[in-house]
Formats: sequence, structure tokens, C-alpha cells
Amino acid sequence: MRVLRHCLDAADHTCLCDQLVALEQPETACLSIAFGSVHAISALSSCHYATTLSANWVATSSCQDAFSDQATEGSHHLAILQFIDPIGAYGVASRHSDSKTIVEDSKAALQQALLAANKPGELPAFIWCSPSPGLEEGLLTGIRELIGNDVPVFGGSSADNDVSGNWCMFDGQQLIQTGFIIAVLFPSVPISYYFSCGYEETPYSAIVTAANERQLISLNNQPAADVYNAWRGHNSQTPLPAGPVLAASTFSPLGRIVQQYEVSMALLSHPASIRADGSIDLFSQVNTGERITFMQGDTELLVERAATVSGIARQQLSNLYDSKPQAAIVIFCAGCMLAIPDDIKRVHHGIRQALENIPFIGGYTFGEQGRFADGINRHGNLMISAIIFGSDNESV
Amino acid sequence: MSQSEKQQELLLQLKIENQQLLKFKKLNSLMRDTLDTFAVKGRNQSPFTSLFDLLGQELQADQQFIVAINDDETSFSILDATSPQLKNLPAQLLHKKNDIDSEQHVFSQSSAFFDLALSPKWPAVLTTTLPQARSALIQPIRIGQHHYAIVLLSDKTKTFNIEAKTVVASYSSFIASFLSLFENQRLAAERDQLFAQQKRIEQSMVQQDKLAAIGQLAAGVAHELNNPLGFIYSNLNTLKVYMQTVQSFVHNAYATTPALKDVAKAANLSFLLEDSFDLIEESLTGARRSRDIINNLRTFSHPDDISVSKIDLMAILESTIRIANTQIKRNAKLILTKDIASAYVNGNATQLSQVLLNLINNAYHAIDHKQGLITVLITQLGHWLTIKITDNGCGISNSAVSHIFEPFFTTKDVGQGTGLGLSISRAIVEQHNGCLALEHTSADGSVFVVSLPVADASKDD
Repeated sequence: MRVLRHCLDAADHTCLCDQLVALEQPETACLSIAFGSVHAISALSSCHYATTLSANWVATSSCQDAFSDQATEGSHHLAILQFIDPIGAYGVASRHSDSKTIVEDSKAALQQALLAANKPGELPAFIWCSPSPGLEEGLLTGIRELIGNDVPVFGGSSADNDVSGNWCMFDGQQLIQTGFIIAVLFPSVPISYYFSCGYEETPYSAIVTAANERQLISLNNQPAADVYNAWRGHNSQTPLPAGPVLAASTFSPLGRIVQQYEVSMALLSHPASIRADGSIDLFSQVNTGERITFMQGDTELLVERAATVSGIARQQLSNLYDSKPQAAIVIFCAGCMLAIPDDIKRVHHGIRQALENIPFIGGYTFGEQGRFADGINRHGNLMISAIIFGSDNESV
Repeated sequence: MSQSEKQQELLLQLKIENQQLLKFKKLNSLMRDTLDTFAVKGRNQSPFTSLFDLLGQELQADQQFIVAINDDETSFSILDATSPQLKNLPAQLLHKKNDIDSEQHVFSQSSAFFDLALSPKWPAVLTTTLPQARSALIQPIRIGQHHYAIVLLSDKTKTFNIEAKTVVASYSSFIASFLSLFENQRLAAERDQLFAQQKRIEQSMVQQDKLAAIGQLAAGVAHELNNPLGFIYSNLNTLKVYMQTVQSFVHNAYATTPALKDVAKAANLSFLLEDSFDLIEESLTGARRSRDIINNLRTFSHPDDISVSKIDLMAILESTIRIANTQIKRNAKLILTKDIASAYVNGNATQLSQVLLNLINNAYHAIDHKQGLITVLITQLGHWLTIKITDNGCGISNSAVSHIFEPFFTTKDVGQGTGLGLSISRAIVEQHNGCLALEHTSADGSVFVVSLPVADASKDD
């Protein structure tokens, strides 16, 4: 298998099409995974040559812009990984969907993707997904109901620059705003991955006593906002008033602690807004009875974390499969990126070093999907993940 | 990143590696158990039985089987299986969606099926044979040019995960060694069979050589003996005429000169004349017997010297039985049973009659009691006519069985048989593209079978 990375200037639609034409390969790519600004993904969707270049696309809009191992100027780029793998099998399916139909849509699309890969009924080695914000848990539930938890599911929620709902995805045929794209991979090379957050636990935690999907109503039978602000106070942070709190809460999210092998891993929920009734709207679902922990982070933790996650994924590829890395995808939460705008180049540099200069692409997303070592696929916020594709010398 | 988090990260990393090590440990344990089990039981059972037991325990498989793919990958057959229904499954065509070369069949790639009902690749015959199977794990195995696959089945969906797939993939080289063992056993059996076949062919060739040598010898001897025997036979007949003339002259002399009677009496002339006739007659009998032997030898050497036509075997059989019955009826009962109304073969009536007469006479000579019974049964099976001649005689001894079709082999007393009957009969039957065999013999009797192709039937049938 060959993985090609391209980083194209998407500021001008015609120019983007010309660059895509110039990428022509003797073999059509089995799959292309891409990130770009909302403008870049829209431009890609209007370039008819895209389907000639690749049979399947999972192109996701990133907050602000995509990033890659190539340093770029400007703000509209399309970062692409092209998979040319005649021995492997790949299939992509997509749906316009909503929170009521997402589970069934997820199952139907997964079956369609398997059929497109000519592998109906078979477990893929890996699933890559791109949901619009709000549909992530339903998407994962549908996948779990159809094939169980055996296949790692990674991806990132589409994003825009101001949470105005302009995010979009392109599957090679259509532009989707509310829905998802799912890709099944049966590659001829091994894949390693790592999913983590860049935050530390604090001693403050409470049990969710009332919740409605992504609305956290009460903690220990008290209004959630009161408990949250009390924790902030203990941590020398100012309380947050009712209203949007996305940016202010970036370094103080809530975490659901997942125990694995006596080690705690945190799945983060990013507070988006505080309601007048004292409940908190989150960017991921919490359930009544779960223990929620107040998490804390800072610039250095986030900068280091991206490199650490990439380094662990690279090391695992070597340890588990004795394979050399060929290319990578890094997902970095848009909330984290927005919290450290002046240090984002340090993040890229750290990733580049940790991956030892192999090609990679990345996007800043409004939700991250992945799995910890406990083998359960989850959706979280403020998370970082790295997915590394190995080389042909080893089998999956 | 705090120090404690770094330590937690490291711990997690170690735990993941430990998980991998546990997987390898599981694999090692599987291999060790397989070796142990095979070392204990391997010689007494199918090489796959232990393998199925261990894989079934480790991976929760309800059914397992191993398939062999034919060289052009168009069909598969079951080598071994835990399910008896599968073991008896004949070779099956492999489903291919289309004829494109790159299209892979279901056993060509390592794969885990979470729901077989969703896969059109899964062979319909396996769905029919094992309708309860819901999920499957397939691991192809290649040994040299031969393709196999081990298949694990479960009655539940989503049974086999990626880890199980990895374990079986890692274990596949071990399974390959089992398959090699199986293949070696199969090759050894095939080799033994070929050796046995080679030995039989060599023995047959020796026999054929011997028969050919005897045939040539017989032809030469027959030719060489025929001329002197002609002299002897002719001269004996002439001598007999001369002696009749001498006897007539003596009687006339007695009539004209009675005194000669005393002289003749003194010389015992009457006895000499009478004994001379007996001697001539005995010599002629011997000469006739010699002539018959020579004719038999010539028939043995050149059984195909006779013309062939479509003949009514039933009529020949009935006629032969009538002739044989004139001699047999004193000591045995001869019964003909017909399962068919007519029987036609391409051949020579005289020769086939000779064969049947030989066999019936042999049956009769084997009967040494007064309740003799010889049954002749004629049947047809496909394109073959079969005549089965059964007697309740003394049977043939074990030591004689392997020699009865050899020329000049006889169990009869010296002078009673030439030892050419069965060998000539077999030569004749084979000349008719048929076969003659001893089907059974014991102290209660023997059964000989003559099989001949029906007229106009394919010779290869």
C-alpha cells in the first residue's frame, strides 16, 4: 500500500481543481481522507475531478484550517491522504441524518460501506468516520449494534470557525452538513492509534444526578453550574456566568474517568454554555449515575500532549507490528487549538518530531471519536488522537 | 505534563504491551498444548482432531473445518471437520461474483464475518449444511502450491473479534505444519498405493512375460511336434491296416494249411496279433491325446486366430450345459438360472463354448460326493454380462489358488489333466475383452465368474 500526502492551496476554486488534476496517478486511490477549511471542502465538492482522483472521499471541514507536516501560509488549505492499495479493500457511505434517525442511519450506512468494499458481513480492520456535531454518540451506537465493539472507530466531528453550523463534509458525491460519512478499511498494512486528552484530574468530582443527553442538569443533586463554579473557585478560577462558556471553559472541562488496567483515562466533556436554570450544555453526552471529575489543563500540557500521543502511536506500530510508519492522521480538538492560538506551531512541530518527519495531515474538530485501550469506541471533547499507517513489509 | 501523568502514561503503555504479551502467551500455550496433545494422540486419530479441540476451547467455535482449494481455485473440498455432515460433503464449486481475476473467493483472505447472513460470498452449500452458523473466522493457509483454509464457525453473530483473527493468523503457520503432516500422510499413502500397484504391474508383467514365453515355446513345440506326430499317427494307422492284412493272411493260411495252427500256437501268434492291435490302439490314443495337447497349445498361443461375430451367449450356454450334462448327471445336478432374456456378445462361439465347458467340467471334477450341485447364473449389470459358475465341491487349496491360471498347473492326477484348461480359458476370455476370475473358494466349493462386454457396448465401460 502507498499513502500519498498532499497539501493544496484551496483559496481559489479553479486553482484547487488545477492542483487536483496535477495529482493524477496511474492508479485511482481507493480512499482519500482530507481536512480543510469550510471553504476548502466546499471548493473540493465543486471540483468534478475529485472523483477521478479517488474512488472514495471522507473530507471533513476543520475549524479555521487543516494542518499537515508541510508548513503553510494562508488560511484555506486542503490536506489529503490518498490510499493506493490494490490488495486492500475500502468502502465509503454517507447519510444526511438527525438525532432521531442517526442509529438506524449509522447501521444502514455501515452495511452500505461494507458492500461497497465487497466485504458484506465482514469485520473491517478500521473504521474512519466524520459526523456533524451532535450525532456522534448515535453514530457509534449504530456501529456497535451492528458489529460490536471489536473494530476501532476513529474520526473527528466536522467544524467551522465560530460554531455557527457551517461545518460540512464531502464523500466524493455530495456535500453534507448534518449527517455523517463512514469509511471501512481493510488495508494491507497495520494501523496503530492512540486516543487521549491533554488534561489532568483534580480531586473534585461528583455524581451526575440528572442529565438529558448533552444537558448536564445536576451534580450530587445540586445545579450543575453551581458545583462546576465551586470547583473553579477551589482551583483559583473565576466562576462563569450563564451564557456561552466554550472558550472560557477550555482549560477546565469535565471528565468521565474510564478505568483501564488500574489506570484512569479521562473522556472529556467540554461545557458549551450555562443555562439560566443552572444546567450546563456540553459537547458530549453524560449519563445519570456517572462520576464527573473537574479537569484542568494549560498551554504546555496541550502542546506536549499532541506530541506524546503521536509518539505513543508510532511506538505501538513498532512494538505491536514491527512496522515502519508511512503516514499519519492527527486529530486535535478545535477548542484546544482556539485556547492556544499562539502556540499552535509548537504543537505541529512537536507532532512532526514525534512522528519522525513522516507525512501527516490533521484537522481541528468539534468532537473526537476513538478508543482507549479498554477496546470501547467513544466520543469525547478536547481530545487528541493519532492514527498511523504502517508499511507493506508487515501484514495486518 | 505532570510527573504523575507521565508515570500513568508509562504504566498504561506497559499494560498495553503486557496485553500483547498475554496474547502471545495464549498463542504459545495453544501451540504447546497442540504439540503435547498431538504427541500423545496424534498417531491414533486424525491430525486435525486435536487442533479442532484446542481452537474450539480457545476461540469459542461451535464448528470447525479445513478446506482444500483446487489448483485453479474453482472448487473446494472438506479435508476434515467437526461436523459429520461436512465431512461427507462432496467437492463444491467456489462462488465468484464475476470472472474478473482479481475477484477473491471467500477462502482466499483472512477474514472475520460478524454476520454470515449478510455475505453473498459464503457458499450456499455451507448455509444449507450448517444453517445455524451465524459468524465465521477464516484463515487461508498456503503450503507450497496448495491452498487450504481453516474455518471456525459460531452459532452466534459477532463471535470472532480482531484479536481472535490475529491469534488464528499467528497460529496459521502451526496449522500449516499440521496440514503438511496430513499432506505427507496422504502422499505416503499414495506412494504406498503406487508401490503396491507397481508391484502388481511388475508381477503381472512377469506373468505376462512368462505367458508370452510359454506361448512362444508352446507354438514352437507344437510346430516341432506336429510333424513327427503326423508320421507316428499316420504310420500307426498304416501299421494297423498292415496288421489287419497280416491277420487276414494268417486266418487264410490256417484254412488252407491246418498244421500251421500248431506252429502258430507254439509261437503264441494269436496273442501277438491280438496284443499288436491293442498296442497300436493304445499308441493311437496316445497320439490323439498328443495331438489334442498340441492343438490346445496352439490355441493358447494364438487365441485370436479365430473369427469373431455377434453371437448368442445364452444359446451357447444352454448348448454347453446340455453337452456337459451327459457326463455330469450321474453325480451332480446342473442348474441354469437366467436373470435376463437374451445375451449377445462379440466373439467366437467355439472358443466361448470351450471356456464354459472347461469351467463346468472343473466344477464337476471338484465334486467328490453324490450330492453334487453346479449352478450357472447369467446376469447383466450395465454393459457387462456375467456368468457365475458355483459348485459345492472340495474347493481349491490356498497354495493352489495363486497358480490355477498358470499354464500346465493342475491338481489332477498325472495324465488326467493337461493344466491348460483355465489358462486357455482366461486367454480366450481376455481376447474377448472380458475377464475370468475365481470369486470365492472354500471347503464348501468354488465360484468362478466370467464377465464379457455386451455386444456393441463401449469397450472402456
